[in-house]
Amino acid sequence: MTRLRLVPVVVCLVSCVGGTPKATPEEKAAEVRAYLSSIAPILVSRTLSADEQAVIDEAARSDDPLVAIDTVLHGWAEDPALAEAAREMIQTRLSVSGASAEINFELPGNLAAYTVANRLPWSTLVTADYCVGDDLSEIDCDSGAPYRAGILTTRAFLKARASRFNLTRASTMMNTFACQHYPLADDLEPRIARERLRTMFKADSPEEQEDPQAAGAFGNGFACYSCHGQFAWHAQLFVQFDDQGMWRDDATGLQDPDGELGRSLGGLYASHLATPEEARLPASQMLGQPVADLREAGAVLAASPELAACTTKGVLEYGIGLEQGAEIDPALIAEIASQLAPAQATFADYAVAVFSNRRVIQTVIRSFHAPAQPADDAPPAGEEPP
Amino acid sequence: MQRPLLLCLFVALALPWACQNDIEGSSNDGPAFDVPKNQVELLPFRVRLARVAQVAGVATDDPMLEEMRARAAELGDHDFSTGVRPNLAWTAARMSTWIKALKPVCTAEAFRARYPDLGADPSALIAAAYGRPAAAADLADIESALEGVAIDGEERTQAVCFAVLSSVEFVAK
Repeated sequence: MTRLRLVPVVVCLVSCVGGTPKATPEEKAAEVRAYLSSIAPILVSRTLSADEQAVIDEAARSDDPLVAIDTVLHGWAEDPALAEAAREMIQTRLSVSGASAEINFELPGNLAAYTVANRLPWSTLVTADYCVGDDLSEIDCDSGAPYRAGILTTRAFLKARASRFNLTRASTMMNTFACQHYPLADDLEPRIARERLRTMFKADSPEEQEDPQAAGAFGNGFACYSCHGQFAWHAQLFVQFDDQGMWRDDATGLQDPDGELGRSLGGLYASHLATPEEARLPASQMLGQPVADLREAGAVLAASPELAACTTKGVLEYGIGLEQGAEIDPALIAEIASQLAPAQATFADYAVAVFSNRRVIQTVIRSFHAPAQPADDAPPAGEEPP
Repeated sequence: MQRPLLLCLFVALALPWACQNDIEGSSNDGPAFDVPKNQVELLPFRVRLARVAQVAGVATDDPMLEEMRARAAELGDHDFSTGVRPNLAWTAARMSTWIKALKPVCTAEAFRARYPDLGADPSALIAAAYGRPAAAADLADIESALEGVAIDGEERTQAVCFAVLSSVEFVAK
């Protein structure tokens, strides 16, 4: 055997045996401890307890050190602090917290915390027929609507996301609870018939645009129907809520002839729909299913696979500290979400499924050994570097 | 050249357990997402508040933490109703405010009773704060920071408390 011939053997032995030897129990425990320590503060607002560390050490001496992660995560499912994690997650995703003289912007976060504390399905966030006060007791909701759809019918959500044509309410609802952005896939949300829309939303090109108000390409371009053929469904659900988040039975959905484009009369927002009969009512469609109002739309969302996938993604982003909308392998999200029934799964179920997933664990632990990327972000404006 | 390669293959097949780290796994899948590592990002304010309360052995509404609660906005908490978004940058100004907020904690009698030997041996505080035993490097870092600084015993105790409870391991993601 020549010297050259030895090279593959040496490389092989170094890489396969010598370079990454089987980890000792101490090394295994250290990696599991580092993984759980990286998510514990966000999920349960604390470090690992002595009991949890003992579980990790014991599992590290077994064939499957990762079993400790399952055990610890199931323990966290019972931890009261998990409710506060859910509150923080929903508040930052929706940008709602605090209170004004008239509106308690804590209601969405309260509902999230209540849902977790009482082990209710996470989908309760869009189906609850009650609101939750600061003392985590059920209270009447504040929008005055004759129906409830959890967060969606709180003034906090409605006021914070008020905008012309109700576009921001619609897009926030679909982004937060279904992780969908316009245009949605055709088969997920079939578009409304073009002839039912106001003229300005029918166009697919500048040549088709017949409405002089939209001649300057209102919004993001001339292909109006592509997005607004779906926006129309979701925005219509909010047509009876005014700019203060109050439900109004006098809503018409008609454009204020003297007002800004997209505004109706009396602080309400204009409908996408052409006929007065359709424009004033919340009857619409959610994910391909006809719905009478926002309550029914919330129920459709609650039972949808999109809610399970979106919650899975949101919990992963929040727990790891990823940017909202960060690129995550869709196969991973699909794998985890497929284990969870959207209408029944609790926040704790999501947390356990996400953070006990082997690929999530591997990705995080491998990142501990990866070199830091070059910094290219300056501190936020107004902040001096440390 | 064939036999060494075959040997390599044999080793790889016969000892798969030795070719991988048990924790990181043998999967050839790439990372499912990029874990951010570039910047120090603080934990949400309410998490930091809860962690200090836990270390001090009190509830988050304890008077010991009044200064910290009062400075919530300065410390990066959000109040979207007034247009204040969360700010989780660990800036010099925020460090200074954090230390001010920690002072009532680090000087509280109840806290001192919980960590009676803090100035001389910060191990108990480190274990409570980090959720792991104190390492030699932790203690060396503190000694290094205080080396040559003329401070009395009380000042040293406070300095150790500030150092642990404002460390990146304690306040950041």
